[in-house]
Amino acid sequence: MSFTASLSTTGSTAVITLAGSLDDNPSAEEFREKVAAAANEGISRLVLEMSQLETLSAAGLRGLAFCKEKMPNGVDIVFVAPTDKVRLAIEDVGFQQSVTISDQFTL
Amino acid sequence: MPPRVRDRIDSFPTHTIGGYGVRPGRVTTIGATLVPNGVNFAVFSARATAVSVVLFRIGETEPMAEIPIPEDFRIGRVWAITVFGLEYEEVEYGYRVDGPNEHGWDKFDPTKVLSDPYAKILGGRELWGKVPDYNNVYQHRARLAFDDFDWEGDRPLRTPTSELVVYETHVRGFTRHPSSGVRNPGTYAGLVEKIPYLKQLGVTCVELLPVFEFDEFGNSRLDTETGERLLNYWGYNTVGFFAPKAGYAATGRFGMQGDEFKNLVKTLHAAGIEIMLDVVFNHTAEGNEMGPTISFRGLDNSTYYMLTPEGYYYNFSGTGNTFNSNNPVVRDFIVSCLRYWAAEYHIDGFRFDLAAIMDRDENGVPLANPPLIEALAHDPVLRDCKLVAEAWDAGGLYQVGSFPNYHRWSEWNGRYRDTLRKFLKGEDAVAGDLATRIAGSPDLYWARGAQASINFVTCHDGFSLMDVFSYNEKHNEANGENNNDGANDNNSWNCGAEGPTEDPEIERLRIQQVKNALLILLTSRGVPMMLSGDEVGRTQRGNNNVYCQDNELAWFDWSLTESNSELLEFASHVIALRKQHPVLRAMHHPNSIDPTNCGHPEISWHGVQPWQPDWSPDSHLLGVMWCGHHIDGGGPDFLYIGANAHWEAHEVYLPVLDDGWVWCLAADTAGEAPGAYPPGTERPLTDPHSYLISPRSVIALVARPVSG
Repeated sequence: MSFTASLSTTGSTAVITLAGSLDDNPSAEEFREKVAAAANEGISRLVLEMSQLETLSAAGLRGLAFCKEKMPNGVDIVFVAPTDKVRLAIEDVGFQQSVTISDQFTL
Repeated sequence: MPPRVRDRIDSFPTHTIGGYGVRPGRVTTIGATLVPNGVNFAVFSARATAVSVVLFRIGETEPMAEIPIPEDFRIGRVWAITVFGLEYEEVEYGYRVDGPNEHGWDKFDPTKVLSDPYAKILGGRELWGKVPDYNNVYQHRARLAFDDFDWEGDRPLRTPTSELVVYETHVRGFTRHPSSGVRNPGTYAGLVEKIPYLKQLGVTCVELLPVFEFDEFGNSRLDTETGERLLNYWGYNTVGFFAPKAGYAATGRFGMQGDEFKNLVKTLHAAGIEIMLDVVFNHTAEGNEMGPTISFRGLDNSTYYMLTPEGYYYNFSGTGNTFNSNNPVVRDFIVSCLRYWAAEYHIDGFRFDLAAIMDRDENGVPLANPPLIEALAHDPVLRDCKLVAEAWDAGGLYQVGSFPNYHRWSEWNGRYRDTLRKFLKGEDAVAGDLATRIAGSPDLYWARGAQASINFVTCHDGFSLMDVFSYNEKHNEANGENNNDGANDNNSWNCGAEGPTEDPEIERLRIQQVKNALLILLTSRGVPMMLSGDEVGRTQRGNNNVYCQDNELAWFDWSLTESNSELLEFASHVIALRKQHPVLRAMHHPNSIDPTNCGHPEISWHGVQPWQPDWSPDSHLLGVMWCGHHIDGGGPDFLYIGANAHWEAHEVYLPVLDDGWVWCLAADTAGEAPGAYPPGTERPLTDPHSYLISPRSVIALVARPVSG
């Protein structure tokens, strides 16, 4: 399935909804652009809604790392509802230590 | 992405080659480096006449492009080019190098695609044990690395040497056994899950067998029983010195081994545990004249290897070739490599395999002042890293106690291992030597202090501790070399039966001997190092060279943590004992005089009667008293260690303590399980003046104020 990423901002929370396969450079680039756009919104929380995200590759994992780098200090990053496959890939490289993983979120 | 007007001037191509925009590269940073809009490739070769960058899509057998580096892009002997427009995450690269083969020293072969010795990530062996496609012309495939790991403020711990308790283990073997219960057995991620175990045990430094990329298929022998190919399990067979072993990463299939390894380092540090790497710079995986051409051989054979006048490889490593480590180019390579691991991976120290080789010049002659050893000792980036030498090599150079050290290097103290084993098996005339080892080997390290002495009884190379007391002879038949491999001088004793036995007395004695060794090790001056699994009585069934045994023979069996919980508990208590008493951890050699007039010297020796040690050849009993008055922060702290390797019990009379103090039992290896008490729960002696030390056992007493 092709990759899509959509950004919406409500108050101080930006939500990027990910779907499909984040597994190559073009998809990672699209994702990074959304993260960069969110970083310019002056937010205090970045939510990545992942329930429809099917796979992650190295490029995708690096995209997630980019979130942490791009966001100013103090911005909470929340990964919401990753599938088991995606969650395990995140945990293997230890990203879960830098972010919050949650089953759901509220604005 | 096309360059934008505000981009730096050097981010634009000046030429087009093979469809790619390129410009002359930067020669001062060897390897492949991300630069604005491109990748800078720089490679050294003293005599190459042509060099091309060969580009592949990840995993593909045919190159997608080949970019000859123009002669006028070369400065000195470094060929460098910046290539623009590459998909960083989807490309693998290598070099094709041509040159003269006018004499036997050069091995240029333009039919080969060479791996970059500076590659930070290598593909080709992403999944451990997956048989490679040998039809692929490019086996060890260099990739680009990205500097985007979130360290969250982690820094190397800089733990003082005095506080080290080193635990030597193998990434795969530590959690590969089905009993480990981790999600990704045999990986860096798996090791992360076991950090709480290490923390509870009390070790403060994990030393990993080689994690630089190696080829587990670099062993051609077969299992004599099954006929299956034996793998190179240990990994002393480096393919890529800058690249972490991909097959040890659960995420190796993503090319994320660097991140996974960094997460291991970060998590160890968060638990207060340092990480030391066993590094192998004495040889490479290219072997002798019959070995594979991977990188160095085709780039610059006579620079990177020690060669005989006839052009053959010197073999001081016993593995086919010898890295030419005191050649200035090779020296820079090694220094750069270690700096990279220290800076990029926050590594706390390095143990150098067969380090004596690094003392030799390019003809193999030992140097009094070897430039590499000196450079590492004084390197500014490595200043906080521990440097540990395995101070011998396979060419007969043995330098324990004499390794050029510059007051920086410490050594695996092989004398300590041999002496302690001889004493515990009951050999004559060892008591005096044991005293010297317990005191930090001042005979070997008088000018350097006890921090130079890495004390150990076992390491990966040899018997496990339980096997030291279960086998008289090695049993390496499974290695496929007719039991000719591995050491023969093991100083082991089987306690009465060779191998497994149902005799409970022998089993009990073996457990006791393991405790004896651990207790003496943890109460000796110097840095203690223990082999993973010894704390639970792991056996290798008499195999003392499991380099090729990727199976239960070498793996850590976690069920032993329950079936041998007595040993595990004992080990954690004696580690805690060491931590409790600064006098055991001080790093100078103790004095047998009493300069502070406190009434006791820092260390004193005793026999059956206090102050009367028996140094005769028949003596198998040694009493040691430590006095903490002489140590900063030591205070009124006394310990008595009584080691009885005799087959008979001895009632020893104890040194008299100051008024108001009594001896309490901290450990008795022949006592009720586990045989040691946690600090603060030591037991007062029934008779405050003497103690009956059982046959082949060791006790530890600590002084406590008289209660009430």
